Amino acid sequence: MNVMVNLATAGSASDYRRWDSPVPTAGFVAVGLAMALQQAVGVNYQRGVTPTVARFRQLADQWIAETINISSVSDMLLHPAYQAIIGMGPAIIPLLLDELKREPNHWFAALKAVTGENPVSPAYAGDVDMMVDAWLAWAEQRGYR
Amino acid sequence: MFHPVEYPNLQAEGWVVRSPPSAKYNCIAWAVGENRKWWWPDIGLQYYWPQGAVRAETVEAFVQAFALMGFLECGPGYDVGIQRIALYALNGVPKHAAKQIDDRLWHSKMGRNINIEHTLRGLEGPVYGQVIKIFGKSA
Repeated sequence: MNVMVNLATAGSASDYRRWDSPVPTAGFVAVGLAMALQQAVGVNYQRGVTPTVARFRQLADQWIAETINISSVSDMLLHPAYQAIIGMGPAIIPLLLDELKREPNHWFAALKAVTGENPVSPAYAGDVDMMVDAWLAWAEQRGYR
Repeated sequence: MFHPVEYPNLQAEGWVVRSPPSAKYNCIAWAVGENRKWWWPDIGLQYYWPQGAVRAETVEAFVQAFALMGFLECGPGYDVGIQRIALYALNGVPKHAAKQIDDRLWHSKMGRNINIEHTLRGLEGPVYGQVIKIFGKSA
């Protein structure tokens, strides 16, 4: 689980010098409570980002950076970050659709894998604009927008 | 976001950016004169591949695809009136294609990234492998 806590605001500056203190300070107690709460409800209150969103963003950014010079579709799709995104399952469908809308990219195979559907007509194979349109139309039909 | 360090020969041979990044077309499309589709013989049938060419990541599949576009295997060199394509492969698996500009320079679409001018040797290395075939057709 991705937990992000702003120590600078959760505890006082002097707290950083007290790691070896046998008695937890009020600041560390507050941090501990915040972390426990985040883990319990799965929400990063600092940024309003769920662990699923944070994990997806991390993997998507990694995939984008590490495959940007690659033409091979199999090399793109078999990249560990892309496979990890697929492994996140249907929970990431809205995230993939948002990403597709924000900046067209090759999320088609991931969408196909997690939805079990393929709205792209064979006539539009490789036409990224039309592939994006097909998936966004599918999203609207399924109530994702 | 182009890191030439991944292409060791570019450091010595030089390169020039020619157009901005685009996820809409790739090196294969660019080499055969297309900039609206992503060409690849993927088994998922998601991407464009000329009908009549084997849909497999093999050199033979690329030979067939280029032939369907009028590009036939030929020798290296530069001839006015002949468009040449170079196919790069890593361990025998096609990875990249570039098209010739003149007797020294070639033009490549770098995946979803930028277009660059470079020497043929400039892109050889651990990412795209080596140039394994040259194709040509009358302009």
